[in-house]
Amino acid sequence: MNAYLLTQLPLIVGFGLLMIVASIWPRGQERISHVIVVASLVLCAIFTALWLVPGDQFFGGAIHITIIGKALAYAGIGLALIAVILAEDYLAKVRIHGTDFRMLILAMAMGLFHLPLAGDLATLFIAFELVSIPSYVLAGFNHGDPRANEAGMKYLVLGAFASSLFLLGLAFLYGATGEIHLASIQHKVALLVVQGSTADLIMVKAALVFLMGSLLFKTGVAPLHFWLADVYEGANMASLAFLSVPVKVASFGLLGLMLWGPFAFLSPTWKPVLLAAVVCCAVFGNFQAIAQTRLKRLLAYSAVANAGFILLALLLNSAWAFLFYLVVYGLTSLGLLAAFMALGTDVADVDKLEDLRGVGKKHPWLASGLTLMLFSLAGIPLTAGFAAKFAVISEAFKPNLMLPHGFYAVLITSVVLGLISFFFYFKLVRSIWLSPEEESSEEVPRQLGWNAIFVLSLCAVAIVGLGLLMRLPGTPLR
Amino acid sequence: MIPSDFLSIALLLPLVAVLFFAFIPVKTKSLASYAIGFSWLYALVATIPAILAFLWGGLDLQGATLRLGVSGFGMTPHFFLDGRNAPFLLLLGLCLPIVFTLLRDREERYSKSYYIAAFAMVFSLAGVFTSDSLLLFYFFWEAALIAVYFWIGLYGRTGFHIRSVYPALLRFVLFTLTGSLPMLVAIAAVCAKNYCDPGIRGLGEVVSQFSPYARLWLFAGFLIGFAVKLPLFGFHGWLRDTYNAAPPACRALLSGVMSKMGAFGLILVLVPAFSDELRYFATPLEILAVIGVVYGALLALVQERLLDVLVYGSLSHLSLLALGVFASVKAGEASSTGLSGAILLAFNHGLIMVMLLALDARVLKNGNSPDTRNLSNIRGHQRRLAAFMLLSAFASASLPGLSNFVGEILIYFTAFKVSPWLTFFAGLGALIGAAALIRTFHAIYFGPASADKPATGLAEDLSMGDSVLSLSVGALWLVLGLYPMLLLHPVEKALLFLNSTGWMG
Repeated sequence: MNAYLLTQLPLIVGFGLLMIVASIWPRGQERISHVIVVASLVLCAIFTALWLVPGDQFFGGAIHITIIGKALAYAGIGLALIAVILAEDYLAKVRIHGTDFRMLILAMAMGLFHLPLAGDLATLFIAFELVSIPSYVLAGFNHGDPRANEAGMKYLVLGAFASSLFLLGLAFLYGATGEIHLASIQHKVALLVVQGSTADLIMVKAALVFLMGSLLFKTGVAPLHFWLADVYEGANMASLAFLSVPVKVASFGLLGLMLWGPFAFLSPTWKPVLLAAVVCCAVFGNFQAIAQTRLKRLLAYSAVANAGFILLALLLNSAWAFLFYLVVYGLTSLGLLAAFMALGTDVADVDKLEDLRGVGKKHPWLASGLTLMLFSLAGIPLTAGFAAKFAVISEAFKPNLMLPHGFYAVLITSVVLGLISFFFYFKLVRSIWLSPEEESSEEVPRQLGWNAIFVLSLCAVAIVGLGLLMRLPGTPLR
Repeated sequence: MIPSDFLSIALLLPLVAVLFFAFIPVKTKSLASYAIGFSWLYALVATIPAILAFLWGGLDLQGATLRLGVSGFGMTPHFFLDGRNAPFLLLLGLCLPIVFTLLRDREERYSKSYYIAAFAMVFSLAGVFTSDSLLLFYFFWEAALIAVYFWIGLYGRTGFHIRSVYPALLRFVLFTLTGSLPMLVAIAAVCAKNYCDPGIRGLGEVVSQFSPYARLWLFAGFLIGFAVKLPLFGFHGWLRDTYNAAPPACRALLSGVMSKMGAFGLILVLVPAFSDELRYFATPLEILAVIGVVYGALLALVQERLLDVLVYGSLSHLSLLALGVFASVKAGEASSTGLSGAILLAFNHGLIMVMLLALDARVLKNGNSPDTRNLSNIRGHQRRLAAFMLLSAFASASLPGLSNFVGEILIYFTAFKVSPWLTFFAGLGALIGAAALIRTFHAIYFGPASADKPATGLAEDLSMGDSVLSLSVGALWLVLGLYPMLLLHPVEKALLFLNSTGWMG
């Protein structure tokens, strides 16, 4: 049997089992459906490690395994796995029908897996939609909550627009080059650039504009980030764990693969655009975050600010820094969400900045984990966030780089504007540790979410471990 | 035991203290005693390697005991100790017992987190002063900031100038980070150029491979970081409110030791690696330093509270230190006099400031600083305290025979050679600073007793033990004032050795 199909088997079988479980086992299905999802994802990852070798092609090139692609697929599956574990007891708490949720997750995981490994345009679009459609549903999963409805609707309409732009871009790309495989498209584009055939090049550039527009929208890069805070605010914490981490990582990965792949020879065209986007991210992400009082919105703007650094790594053509930053960012965000989930009560989530007051006294360990995640987002040394930022910055000073004009000015701008982010991260730290707790008359019932605590400790260990793993550009990995 | 083991113990002991306070259940009553125990132990452990470094002219710890980072990832942790940085470690070691003994917590106001933050700060400071790897240096630099953030944030006090602690604290954090982020970019650039961390001692070699234009940016990155910490004039916006908000022990360590991080950076990082740039910008930097001397002294002259006088006096003294560094680079080859003067001043100023700030918090029962508008003629109530306070004030005013004098006079020597007029103004500033200090002391201790300034709220006089401690510190000043070669000789030896190897360019 085809090795690729074997890796997909757990996901497909898991999906089928979930459907059966949902229909014949109305009670007690939560536990078993959770086990099924976790097992499917783990098996998928194991099979991928065992049987997919970089360089392999399947179905006439529809699936093309590359090193970066495999790493991104791992990142997508791994982060989705952590998010699933994180969601387990939270779903019960907010009375979400867990099996439906998990079916969506499996479908999405399939998309996450295929996005970086797609070898042709058709697979690429199917994978893109496999990620997008479940994420629209996830955004509006609490039907009862008007904010969730708004988020779902907003995400659906704007996301569908982005999807159609993406499709249009693929069509233009096919029209200009007549090729369907990404590798052949790259050759064809290179040829067009060398020949200087303007008519076709304009088509390719139009395709670039559409694809970049759609992907920058999906990744929430400023100035296309306007939807991000509303969607984050409306989505429940479990959905947010997926929307803000695996989906985001996969979208960034796709952006990187497209720009480094088919459009690599058009880099003089897209690099200045990305450079402008980096400045926008630094400005909008940091300044808009200052005024936020809701934690999820704060998270959204900090995502925008971090997107700037991811784009910098992309601009530097540094796959190492790009992947490292993505993974670190994903782990930090998941850890942060885990801490928020663990701190929520049985009836409400932590929602506003004030909800964190006095947490340091009441739950010192949880608060320490949360603080570690905040430090990592801010890029304080000895956390992975610092290591990732340092990786990007030091890549920029590698000798013999071809950089667009004004790159260093942009780099310094984003580092210095990062100062503003310290302002609001330290505002959170202050709430946690340095503010007295508000007097509350009644004690709200609160169950310790062991899954959240497990994920938080996992992320904390990873953040500290990766923070110690400082690698400088040019030095070999081993 | 070989000397490098002493150094690793000096680094690790504060970490042990942090873990001790974090995990060992100790009664709140005895926390202060344990802290005193740790501080005396640390004084012992930190001064031994420092003295050994003086005697043997340097020792090297090649990361044999501490490994940070995964091997093969381009960052090897190195620590070093020689005549240049030994005074800084010695200063840290000597300051701790003074701070924790004189300012011990009698009312059990402080819980564990106070001591955790304190020893975390000591750990970071020890790391900053001894790490050779640039990345480690930066780690410790930021770690010190985080420790101080929690120390002030948890135990800071509102008071005369500040209605709430947090804005002052945030300003301190943002100022410091404004300085350290450009430094981070510069460090990243240097490391990337070299493919691995060159370390503080290898910095000059790597920097010389950059183009002059790029070197200018690197220089600016490092300079801003150190200028904020010192602080130089223009970068001092955080100074007064932070010192006012900080608990007394933190304030003493901030002024006595942490501000020396800036001096350390100027002397050990900037001078060896960027001597061309420093020489090029020497005059404007000197002017900045002299403005700081005069400005700090003038501000000190118009303050009514002793703490404010001390804060601005400290700004004035540290600017003088910066003047010494800049002037000695300007004076060029083989003129390390100003540099060793600066190191001496850093050491003595730190010790004197710690003493002054500790005594300042002991005058009133509530720990506030004495104010000339409310107090007058109180020497009869606290005889011993008054005596030591005056001794420290004279030491701070650079009375010949006490230790501060030597460093300052060396700086004047060097500075006078290259820019006599600026030195004249700096001397004038120092004079004004001394006048400000004496004026305030006179008003508090010798001013006319009046009915509207009743001597109420005064704390008890120093105990016998505290007096002995203060007396021995005073004796140290006297010894170092009369026989400065004790400290100067090893420093000069280290500087001359480096000079002969082309260190000064």
